[in-house]
Formats: sequence, structure tokens, C-alpha cells
Amino acid sequence: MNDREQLRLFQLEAQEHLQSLEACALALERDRQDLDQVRQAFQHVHAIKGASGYVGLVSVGRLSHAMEELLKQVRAGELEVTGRIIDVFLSGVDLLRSCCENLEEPEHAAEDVDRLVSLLEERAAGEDQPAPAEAAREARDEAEDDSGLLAAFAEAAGQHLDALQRGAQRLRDDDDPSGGLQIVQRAAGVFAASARYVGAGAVAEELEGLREAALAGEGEQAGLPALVGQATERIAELLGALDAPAEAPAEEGPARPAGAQEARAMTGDAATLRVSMASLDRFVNLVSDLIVVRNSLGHAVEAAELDGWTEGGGRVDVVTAARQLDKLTAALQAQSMAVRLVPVRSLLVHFQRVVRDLARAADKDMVLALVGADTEVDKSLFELLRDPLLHLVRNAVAHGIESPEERRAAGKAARGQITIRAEKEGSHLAVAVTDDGRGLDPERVAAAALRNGEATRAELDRMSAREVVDLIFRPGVTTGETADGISGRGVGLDAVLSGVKQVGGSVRVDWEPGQGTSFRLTLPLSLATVDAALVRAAGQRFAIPTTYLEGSLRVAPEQVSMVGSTRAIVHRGEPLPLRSLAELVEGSPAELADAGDAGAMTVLLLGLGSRQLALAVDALEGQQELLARPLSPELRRLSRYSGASLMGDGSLVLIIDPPWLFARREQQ
Amino acid sequence: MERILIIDDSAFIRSIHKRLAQEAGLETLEAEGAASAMALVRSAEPFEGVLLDLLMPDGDGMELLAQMREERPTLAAIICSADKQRARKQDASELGAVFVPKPLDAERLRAALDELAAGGARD
Repeated sequence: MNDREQLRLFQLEAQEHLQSLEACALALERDRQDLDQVRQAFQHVHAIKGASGYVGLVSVGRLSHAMEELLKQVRAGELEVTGRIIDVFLSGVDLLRSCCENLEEPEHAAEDVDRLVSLLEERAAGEDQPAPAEAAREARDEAEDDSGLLAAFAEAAGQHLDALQRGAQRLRDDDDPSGGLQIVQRAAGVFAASARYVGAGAVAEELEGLREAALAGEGEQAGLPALVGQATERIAELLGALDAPAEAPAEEGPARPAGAQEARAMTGDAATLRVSMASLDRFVNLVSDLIVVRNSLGHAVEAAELDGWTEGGGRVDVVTAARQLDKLTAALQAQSMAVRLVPVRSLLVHFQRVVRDLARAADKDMVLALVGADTEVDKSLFELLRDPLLHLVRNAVAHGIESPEERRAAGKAARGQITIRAEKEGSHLAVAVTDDGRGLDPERVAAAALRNGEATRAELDRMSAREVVDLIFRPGVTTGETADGISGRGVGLDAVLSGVKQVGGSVRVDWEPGQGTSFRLTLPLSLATVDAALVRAAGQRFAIPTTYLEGSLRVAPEQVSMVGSTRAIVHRGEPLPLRSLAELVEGSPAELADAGDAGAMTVLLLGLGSRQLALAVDALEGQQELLARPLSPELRRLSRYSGASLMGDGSLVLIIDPPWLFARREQQ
Repeated sequence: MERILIIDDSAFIRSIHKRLAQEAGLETLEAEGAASAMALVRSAEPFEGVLLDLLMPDGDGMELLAQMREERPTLAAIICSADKQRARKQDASELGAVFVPKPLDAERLRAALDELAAGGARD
């Protein structure tokens, strides 16, 4: 094992200890008498402290030592667990995480550690005992923490600005802009979240603009670096004006901005995978079997050649070996897929912390319940789920769950509940984020759609409540006009869900006024395969993911009627708009009626949320599990295809992205 | 002395200890905790020394050492722990063990390992 592998091992172990430590702290917050959590937390801190000396992380040693001392006091019953103590402790976890991840002592770390160590010592010395008589002091403490928060923000701002400059420099220097774009996008995102948190809205807006630009890949040549330059100047000005403490919101806790914390809590751990010895053993056994079969196949072929491939023994053996080979390769494939499976818990558990921090920031009371966390999924899905879930959870905290007062007034329990439920449905994974809050308000969505020009008043008046609510999945529609800094960072659901849609996933929303909202994401369990219907149109073959497919029909020409300028068919008593796939992909009107003259045509019924669409194709060729490959950037820009698949005969089939069909329908 | 058993629940720390032991010319054997260490003690696996921590998830280092000595009375030991007080109080020397404090003092551990490698098993 070389030095690098050793360091990597240290990081992996530290990461695991820190994750458990965080879980202990959160459990302790829920049940403050749970000494078992204290004992476990102690073991984890102790392990980190022990290992830190081996890699020369002095600050980590000091900080974990201070955390150990705090835990000892709690364990001895000398210190009562309070929300403030958990806050300081979690800040310690964050700081440890950052030190261990970077494996170096960043310049600011020593100061941060000093500050935190003295805070921990203060708490351990019992200077934080909450007694009613001390309410005034508590309030004064909080006021001091506010200024501490601003100071922390100002300090972090310097680093974020540096990161932006570094990104701009990379954009100027590198041939490939992706690295620079990523730096700018990430730094602007985290910086904006922190700015929102401390109430610096103007700074946040400036940064959000920058992030959008980077996301859009703008300025691959000269545009973006200049934009970064201008923005950082304006931000520096704005920050200068921010010194007035009056701007600080009344937040509790000495922690760094929640946005930054949250971002940290959500990163990491996807790139490596721990595999059990039993699983590896199965691989080894399968491969040994494979070698045996290969050898016997070789012998059988020799024997068969000797007897001239007659009906004799050699030929029979070849057939037997080929069958065994078939079985073994299938088993090997299944095993290699299985090894990538991990319980979705390791992703979902991060949201405990997110909900806790956001709820505290919003002065709301809620718990997060995880259901089906043992569901095993391909680890590559984590990356895809992380941002959408974070967005949905944020929405639930900010817009879903009401304040305790509002809940009591409505006759509900003061404590709200958010549930993340994961379950398998055939070859799909469904993850639902449900809250028991006030329920989506179609009026708010309608207002947002009007504001963004996605729909006119007249159109909205004609829509059902369900259709109006489905507008939140349209690009550009965001209801995030809140000033609370939690939700609504100006990024709509559409953008957050783009990754899910690219792999053939879908989303639906259900709500009950006064009872709650539920968003449900459905995506293929294995990213590599898409179950699709193969169709022919405009002389080409296309694949349509069956997730969207609700059925197929044969339609005679006389069954097609005209509604205004749109063709329609009647299905189960409902008129459905009818489009031709050839026309949609060619971009020019094809003569549907002519095609129909030859007789009945094949029509697929597609569903997206509550909307349905009838799609005429030249022929339905079958249904197949396809190995999907990502598209070249040029094709991806067309946005009508989610991927491509190489067929058995060597031809390439493009996989259509059905939401695009729906968007096309509405444009016309 | 030829072979030493390294006990620690952290694969990272085991890897460091293993390297140091090998540099001292010792062969190594690893265990994750008390249970697997005892299994090795009861096996035919030859080793003459042990390097362990006091705090492990499935047991106490001092107790483990005493148990191991019941099976192999001549086992030499190095205790590597961050818990200085206890190591002193329980008097590691009484147990015939060398105490090396954590955070790691690589030189002290090297010296202890060299001594172990040079000497035989405990009398």
C-alpha cells in the first residue's frame, strides 16, 4: 500500500466516522437522554482523533479532543444537551469534514478551530445551561452570534471571490472550458446560498446570474471571464456596504451559513464503493467456472472437428458447453450489476441534517421520516437523485410545512412531517417526497406561470387545477419568490429534474389542500438500460421509453376529426390531440391524411403527468430493453433525444425524450 | 521474534503499523478487533508479539491482552493508545507491555518495534 492509498483510506474512514457522528448528534437532539448515542459518538470522535496524528492533522486532533471532552461531560451527567450544544457540535463535525477532505490545514482552519474549540470549552464548562432566568443572557448570546455569522460570511466571501477569479483564469487559460465553468458554477452557487442566508439578497442575485451563465455554458470564449470580473467588483462594493449589523437576520447558532454546510453535507462518497468479500468470492467462483467451461469448449470443438461435426459426441459437447457459457455469462452480468447496488439509505441519511438545519433557520418544527431506506439501487443513481431531492426537500420545508402556530390553528400537530419514501416498482425506482403541510396552491403556480409568460390568463382559466399545477414542471416557471433564503433560488423544477428526465425518468405531483404535497420521482433502476418501444417514422427507427407509454391503438382515417386546426381522436370518450412523429422530428408538416388513406394507422398513447397525447407512427416494431448511451453534445443540444442505443444489427436508434413531444405539441 | 499481530479496527491505522513493523524486519498478521484476535490466538498461526489499542469497538485492550496471555503466556505486547492516564494507571509495564502514546510518535513506535524484533518472546 503506498502513501496515496493510505491517505485515501484515512479519508474514507474519517468520512464514515463523521457520517455516523452526525447521525448520533441528530439522534441525540431528538432524544436528549439517549446516552447510548453519546457513547457511540465518543467512539467515533476518538477514532478520528487517533488517526489524525498519523497524517499530521494537528487541528483535527485538537478539535476532536475538544469534542471528546464535551461528550465526556454529557456522559457524566454534568452537562445537559441543548440545541445550542448540538449546533456547536455539528459545526465541529463540518469543520472536521472539511479538514479531512482537504488533507491539509487550510489557512483559515486554524482560526476556525480556535474559535470552535473555545466555544466547545465554553459549552463544556456549562456556560450554556438554559434556565428560564437566563433567557436574557441567551438572547444576548444570540445577538452576538449574529455578528459572528456576518463575520464568518465576510471571511468566506473572500475565499469564494478567489474561487471565482480562479475559475475565470481557468476559462482564459484552458482549451476545455468545462473545468472553469464548473468552478464558477459551484462557487457562485455556494456563495449565493450563503449570501441569501445572511440576508444579502443583492449579492445573491448577482451570483445567481453568474451561476446561470456558467450553467448555460455561456462565455466559453471571452464572455464569462469578463462577466466574473464585473460581478466580483459589484459584489465587493455590496459587501462593503453590508457591514451594518442591521441587515443580519435573527438566526440562532454560531454555525457557518446553512447553505455552505448543506452543500458539504451532500457531497462526496459516490466515487468509491465498498464490496463485501462474499460478493467478490461469488465473482471469483463464477470466473473459475467460466474458465472450466472455456476449456471444455475447446476440447469439445477439437473432438467435433476430428469427427467432422457429425451428430457424434463432440458436437453434443459443444452445444452443452455453449449453453453453460450462456448461463454463466448471464450470472456474471447479474453479479456485476448486483455489486453496484447499495442501500439508498446512504444517500437519504444526509437529508436528516438538511431538514434539521433548514427547519431551524425557518423557525419551524418538523421531522424527516425515511421509508424504504434499505431499497438497494445502483450507486450511479445517487448523483442523479441528490439535487432533485434536495430541491424537493427544500420546497417542502419552505412552502409545504407551515409554522407551528399556523398548524395549530388548522387543528394539526405543531410538528410537521416530511417523508422520503423509496421503493422499487418493477424495473423502476420510485422516490416520493411527501409533506403534511398546507398543500400546493394552484393560484401560486398560476401566478408564477403568468409572470414567466408560460401561460396567459385566458389559458389558465380554461385549465383544470391539475393542469395548472403541472405547469411547475415547465422550464422557467418557479414559485420561488420567497425572501426566506431557503427555497426558490431561481432555479425551477425543470432544471433540477433534467438529469432524471435524461435517463427516462418522470415526475408527478399530488396534493391535497391543507393536507400536504407529494412529489414522486420515477426512474429506471439501472441507468444503463431503458425499456423502450421501437417505432418507425419518417423512414427511421426511434425508441420511446415505455415509462411514458400508456398503450397503442389502430385508428382508421375516418376516426380522426378536426378540432380547430388540430387533429384529434376520441379515446375513452376524451378527445386527444393527434400528432405525427414524422412531422415532429422532421419539423415540417407531413401529410398525415395521405398516410391514413392506405388504411388504419398505428397510434401510441403517451402520458406525461395528467396530460395525454396520441402519436401517429408508421409502424410499431416491438418493445426492447436498450442499452442507452449518452449523446454527443451536438445532439444533446437538440433536447428531443435523451440518448442513443446501438442495435444488434449495428444500426443506431435515437431514444426520444417524450416531454419534448409534449412541449412541441403546445407550441403549435 | 519474527511475526507480530496488529489489532486495530481502522484499516488505515493497521496499514501504518504494518509498514512500521515491516521496516523493523517483522512479518505481520492483522485483526480488526478482539473477536478476530482471539480467533487467531486460538489458531495454529504463529506469532510472538502483538500491537494493539486500548479502545476497540468490541472489547477492551487490557482485557484482551490478559485473555491472549492465557492462551499464549509468552506473547510480547506494544500498547498504542491515546488514553495516557489509563495506560499509566494500569501500569502497562506490569503487564509486560510497552506503552506508546497516540497521537502517533513514529520514532517511539519504531524503537519499540525494533526492540521487539531484536528480542525473543517474553519470558
